[in-house]
Amino acid sequence: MLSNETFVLIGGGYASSRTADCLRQEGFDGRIVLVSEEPHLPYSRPPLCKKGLVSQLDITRLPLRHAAFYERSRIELMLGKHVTGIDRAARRVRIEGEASLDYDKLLIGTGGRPRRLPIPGNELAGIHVIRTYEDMVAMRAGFAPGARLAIIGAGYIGLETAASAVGAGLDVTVIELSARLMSRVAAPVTSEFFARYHLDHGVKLMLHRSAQGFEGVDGRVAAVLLDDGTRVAADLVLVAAGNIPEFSLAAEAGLTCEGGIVVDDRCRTSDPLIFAAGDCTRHPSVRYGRRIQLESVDNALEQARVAAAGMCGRKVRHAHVPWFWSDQYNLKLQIVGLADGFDEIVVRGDPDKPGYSIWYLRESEVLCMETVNNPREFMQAGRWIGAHAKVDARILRDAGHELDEAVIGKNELLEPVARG
Amino acid sequence: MTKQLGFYLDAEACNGCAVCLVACKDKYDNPVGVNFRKVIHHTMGSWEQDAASPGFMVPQISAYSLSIACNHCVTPVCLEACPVAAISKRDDGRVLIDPEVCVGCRLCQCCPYDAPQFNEALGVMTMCDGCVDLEGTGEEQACVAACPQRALEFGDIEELRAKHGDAVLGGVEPLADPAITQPSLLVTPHRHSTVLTGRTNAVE
Ligand SMILES: Cc1cc2nc3c(=O)[nH]c(=O)nc-3n(C[C@H](O)[C@H](O)[C@H](O)COP(=O)(O)OP(=O)(O)OC[C@H]3O[C@@H](n4cnc5c(N)ncnc54)[C@H](O)[C@@H]3O)c2cc1C
Repeated sequence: MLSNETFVLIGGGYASSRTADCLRQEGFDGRIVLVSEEPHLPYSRPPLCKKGLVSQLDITRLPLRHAAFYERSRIELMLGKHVTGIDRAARRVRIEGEASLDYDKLLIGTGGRPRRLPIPGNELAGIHVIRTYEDMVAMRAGFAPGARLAIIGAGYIGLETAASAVGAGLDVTVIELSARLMSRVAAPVTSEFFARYHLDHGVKLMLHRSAQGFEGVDGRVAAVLLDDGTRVAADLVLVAAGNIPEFSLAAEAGLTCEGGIVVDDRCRTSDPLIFAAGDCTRHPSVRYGRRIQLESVDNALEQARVAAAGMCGRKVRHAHVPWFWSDQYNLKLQIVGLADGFDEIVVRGDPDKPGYSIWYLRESEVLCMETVNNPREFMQAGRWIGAHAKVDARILRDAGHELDEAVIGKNELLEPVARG
Repeated sequence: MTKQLGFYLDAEACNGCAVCLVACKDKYDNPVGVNFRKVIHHTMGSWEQDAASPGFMVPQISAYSLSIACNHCVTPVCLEACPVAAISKRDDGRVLIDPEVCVGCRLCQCCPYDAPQFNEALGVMTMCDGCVDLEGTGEEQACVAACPQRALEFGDIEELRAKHGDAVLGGVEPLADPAITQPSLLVTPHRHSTVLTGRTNAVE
């Protein structure tokens, strides 16, 4: 596709970098410019709260693609450049300290920013969030054996950090508003499984508690104050209380936004020349029939693939079954699909041991599955969910049966299928 | 880890004919665009003014070829990037992708050697496995056997190192900085190439 068009991609995360990659795979031959406020090649974020905190892991090991790839693919990188505005009428983006850049099509992949708590003392030194490499490096500086770390929020990032920190000899307390761990994403069985694991490793869990303020000494945090009056002494605090999608550029440019940039199932915004992908979007889920917002690597990559096709004029729908993962200790939690609307939960295997799986069904159809250290069943579940497969719950429940025996009818579902 | 298998390449002998690549592609029946092995042609220098005869330009150019596959690295970034644990490192040092577990997300393309290759039809990543099927047969890897220059070898990296005293571990220009992944790649450098240091020890 010979083209003299310029496609501009805003953001230096998974969504932008994968869009650039896919544009070339689609055969787009014009100019691609990726503008990121971060001074690095687009890099991997999951290690920031895992291995990164407890090793000397540096940025050279984190790029999603190496410099040679961008050169070879003629993808121009403008790194360390903040986009300050989108002028839709002139089809131009404004970049701080640079000349404006004209676009023929634009992709917004601005991700999200960590939520900060609007409570007294939140400006004290020693209170961290983790989204960027720099955030990780700053937090790592306080990682000394014996240091007291208070983590606010028992979601993926909070718990992964807890696992890393306790392994490095820190004294870790996790404070969580709801009554169980990962309550937004996982089943109670899984919450309990992980709670036991964290407790066994020496993490203190304070559930059903909220942070009301921070106490400081000489400008540095010294404690977290909880709603019930408890004072959790801390040398270091991580606020892991979720993300806020970054859609200010889109909103200021008048694109339709509802807590995120609203896109259709082809990742188009309300302006036909502007696409969006990743954490900054809200999109309709074809599989689940409603509008959702997902914050995951998988979703950013998949939306990028769809957006790139759309930018090249090809109609590809975002019909993918979403999946998630979390690494804590030697446990890999994997979730595929979305659970809401289920009418039955089946636990397969021993929920006290890694390897179990939890299946969410609606009228026997598999909606979602979560498992610990069982990547094979995870793969199979993903295929079944995509194919609307129905299962016999009695067989599924009995780990003495092969997984394949549980599917009702449709033997072709058992064959591995191309997933490109 | 006790053992570390890897490739040896004699860059003086390699003439870039790509028979290795073809033999590999044939064996694995890979589609167009999927190459477990690649041949990199590296050129450097330029035309320069001839000092002896002003106004005349003379070529000061040199070139060499490197045949590269998966380097079965000591600290593979692909393995770390894989979100589903489909990539593992065996006791013999091989880095392998399990196609039954791979979800095709392509995050392992963070490899600075471009080793993992996405197979569109299968929906999974594929990669050089050091012809693991030939293990114990005494047969040579497809690429090694095919090389008309006998420029390639595969084996225990320490043994290869003892055998090729002039070879350097980790590579030469234009390959990535070996400090990143500690590649198990031993190269007898072409006389014109810049050796990259940074690879510290073979086996950890
Ligand atoms: C510590 C951590 C661990 C995680 N672990 C997992 C995990 O295990 N599994 C999982 O699925 N997900 C995980 N995630 C979530 C995952 O990283 C995100 O879902 C993913 O990064 C989303 O990609 P994105 O491209 O949409 O956004 P991002 O990766 O956030 O990229 C957005 C980019 O846009 C840039 N940007 C924003 N505004 C501007 C502007 N105005 N001008 C220029 N640039 C701008 C940002 O600087 C950034 O580079 C984790 C996240 C973190 C922080």
